[in-house]
Amino acid sequence: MDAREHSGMHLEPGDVAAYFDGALSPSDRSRVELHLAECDACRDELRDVARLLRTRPNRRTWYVPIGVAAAAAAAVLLFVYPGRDRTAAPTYREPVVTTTVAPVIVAPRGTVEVPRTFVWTAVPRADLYRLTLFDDTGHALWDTQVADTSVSLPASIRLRQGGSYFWKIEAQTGWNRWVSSELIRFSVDSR
Amino acid sequence: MHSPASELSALLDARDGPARDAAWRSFVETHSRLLLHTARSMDRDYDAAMDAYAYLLEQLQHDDYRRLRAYVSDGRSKFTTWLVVVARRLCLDHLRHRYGREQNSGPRGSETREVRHRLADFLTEEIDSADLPDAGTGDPHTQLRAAELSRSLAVELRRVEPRDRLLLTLRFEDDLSAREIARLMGFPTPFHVYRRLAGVLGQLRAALTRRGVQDSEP
Repeated sequence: MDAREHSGMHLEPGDVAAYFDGALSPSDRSRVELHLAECDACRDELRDVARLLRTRPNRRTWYVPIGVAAAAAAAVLLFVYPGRDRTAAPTYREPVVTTTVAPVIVAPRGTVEVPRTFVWTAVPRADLYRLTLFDDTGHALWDTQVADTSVSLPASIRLRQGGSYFWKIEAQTGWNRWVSSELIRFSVDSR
Repeated sequence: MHSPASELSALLDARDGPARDAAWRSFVETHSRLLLHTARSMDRDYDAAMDAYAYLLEQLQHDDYRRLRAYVSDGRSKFTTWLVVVARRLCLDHLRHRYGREQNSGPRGSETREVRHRLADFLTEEIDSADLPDAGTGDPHTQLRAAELSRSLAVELRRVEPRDRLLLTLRFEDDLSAREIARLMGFPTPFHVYRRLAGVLGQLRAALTRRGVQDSEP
């Protein structure tokens, strides 16, 4: 289905976006405002778009300097106190709470057409994800690391129709600390 | 860091599979937060939102990035604004396909009447605020006057400029604050919204007075 059965009935995406950005010609603006005054759905859309843009999350790149700074601070602390026996458990600190949730695989799973995108859920504080794709003999076909919660299957990886595959996601939640999803099987539809 | 426009160009101009894969990865990495934010805003259920997100990515890739190419051929707005509009529509389509179309919560007609009544109250406030009748009463005179006022108001509203009609709709039908209206309609400040509203309401009052709506009594 197209992004809308809206054509003819509602504003085009470009109209809504350009109206919001104040980029319409006077005559187009008049046309759009007349429609908006009469159309609840398009006004809802305009309000939603304004809210989404106002509340949009910061870009991920802001987190990189913070992560780097935290790692640098940790390194400084380690070097400032070189004499401490780092193997001994500190007595003033409670045991580390390991409540990190594992990533959950969203798609593909089950029987699917040749998947183009692999999607999984985010893990709080994870800054890197490692995807591994196996064939049904356990041979690793593809291994990649991304900062996002989805990745496209490269054209160089050919999945055969009717074949079964397994994949898992590991999320890096700390220095050399990874939490893994379940190994999920999917089959490529043979039709 | 690449700008959204350069990423989009790199994606749409990629000549071969590997270049296209790399450009798509870069595109997704740049915009996934905004797309996820949009998907999550449409459905609070985490799994459903992630499904919608996966659907979004598929649809943006579909048919050789047909939708993204539509932005390039239009190009009037910022890319992120356009992307949010398209992503929201795709999520809605996905949700409707999956859960069916949401039923209207109530008859729109009665809402419209209520809005018109609110606006009429507002407009006649200065005409005779002390004697303004209660529309809920069964008094025939009151009903007659309310009907007359509603008819006159409907006629005058049709004569209002589109921009002012939208302003009145957002204020009296959608009950938005001046700040929200300013953001949606591009007024510099909420003060400009108040000032414009006062102007439009003044014109409407004058027009109603010319039509004989001068008193709360018929």
